[in-house]
Amino acid sequence: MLIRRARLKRLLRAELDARDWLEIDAPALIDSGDFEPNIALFRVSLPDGTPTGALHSSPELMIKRLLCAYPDLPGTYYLGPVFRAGEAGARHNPEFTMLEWYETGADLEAAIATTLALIDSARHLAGLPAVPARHCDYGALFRERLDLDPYHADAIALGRAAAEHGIDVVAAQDMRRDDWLDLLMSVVIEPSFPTDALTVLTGYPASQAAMARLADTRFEGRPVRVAERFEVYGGGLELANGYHELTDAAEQAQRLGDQSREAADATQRRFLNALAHGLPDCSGVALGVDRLLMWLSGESDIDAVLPFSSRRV
Amino acid sequence: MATYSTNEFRSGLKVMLDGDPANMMENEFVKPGKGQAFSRVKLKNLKTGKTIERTFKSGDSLEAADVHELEMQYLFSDGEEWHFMDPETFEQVVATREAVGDSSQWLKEQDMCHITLFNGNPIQVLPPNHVELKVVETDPGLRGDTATGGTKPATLETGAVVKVPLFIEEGEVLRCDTRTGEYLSRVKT
Repeated sequence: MLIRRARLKRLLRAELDARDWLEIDAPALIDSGDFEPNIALFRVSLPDGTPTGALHSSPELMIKRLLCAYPDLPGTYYLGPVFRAGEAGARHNPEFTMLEWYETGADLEAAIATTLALIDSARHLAGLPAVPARHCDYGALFRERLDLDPYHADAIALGRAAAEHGIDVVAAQDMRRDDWLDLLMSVVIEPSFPTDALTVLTGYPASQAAMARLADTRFEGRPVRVAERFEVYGGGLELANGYHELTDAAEQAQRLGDQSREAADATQRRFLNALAHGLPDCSGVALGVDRLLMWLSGESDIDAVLPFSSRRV
Repeated sequence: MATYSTNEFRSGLKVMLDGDPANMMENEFVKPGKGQAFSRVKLKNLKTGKTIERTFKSGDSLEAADVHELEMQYLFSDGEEWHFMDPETFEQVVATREAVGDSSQWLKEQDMCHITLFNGNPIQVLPPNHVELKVVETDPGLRGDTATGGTKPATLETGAVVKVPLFIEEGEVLRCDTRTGEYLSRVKT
């Protein structure tokens, strides 16, 4: 597994270097986090206990700032550790290896193509045949598996659907609409994905991607706003997430709402200032390298693909 | 009483659920990369033995249950209550029929049992996995039938009835597995 892991990382670097992209050393130690409401950061303090910052959960803000400064870069990537507090389980380790890249000029379709090409190369390296990629729509999947319209169903209807699938949620009154969508996606929909195929999922509700562009489309005849976001699953395992990145600083600030107004932290403030200066049209994709290794090796526990998981550090 | 937050959930944890003590058997962490995290938990109600599945949003918590498990010596029963003693502290507890349940048919005085205490009271009594008990009643074995591998019921001194080979006679001591209720072997006395 150590050899497979090292070879996979070498391959990913080689593939992106061959495109003349630039590897970026994003700092792991940052002042504050990104704008992800569902990702908790490890806080860092000085020996005397004074808080001094946090460990990054993604290099996104730093890389985007570089792109604002150097808009002519064709592509940039970060390959290294990221940290998410409290995320531990068979598919999660609080520290994991992320490949995150930004491709200038790429729309969502192009970003998906790049992602699938990388996964294809990784399968080839592992001696596995290429597999088909099924393209699925978020709304259509919810309709098919749960008979729901995920763009309009309220928390009560979503909760009822969960109960019908035997999901008994404690303190269900605290569940927001997006919480239910996340739960149904994880527990009902993802496990139904075919094991030996890649599933590309698009059509996420606008509320499920704070930093992606939005697009107007229709679902079952009704107008809906969706995020220009995709996820790639290997079987039922989430491998990569991508956005056609939002470049409009005003819209970004407005979408972040309270979060941006309260962005007193230097990392967030500098990011919003850079965005106002101008982010080139680009797509960004984050691929979980450990997850990819799990899928390629047929492992169901992330512990099996890490030299030392947090359980054994 | 202390509480456990979802990030402390792990199998083996004893918690209060719907007013009853429960043992956490499995905890699955579920989270879409960008989404809300959940703990999907399988618990066993320690009073009823029922398995329950619950989903908790990350950050929720459960109250800890005052549950202890220990080995205690079975002393005697008056048919209504069963008395046990901690051989180290000589402390005694009394278990009800509800707590003892089917285990009563295996309980022999002096045997060490696995007791689960909730707030100091036994809620579950498990006999040793293997017990040695005397046959008090069984039909006489018929000669020649042993080759067929036939079995017959035998009643043991504690009340349990096990299937035994035809050659077993009253007064013999048998080794049995209390988890399966099966005869294992004869014990030479």
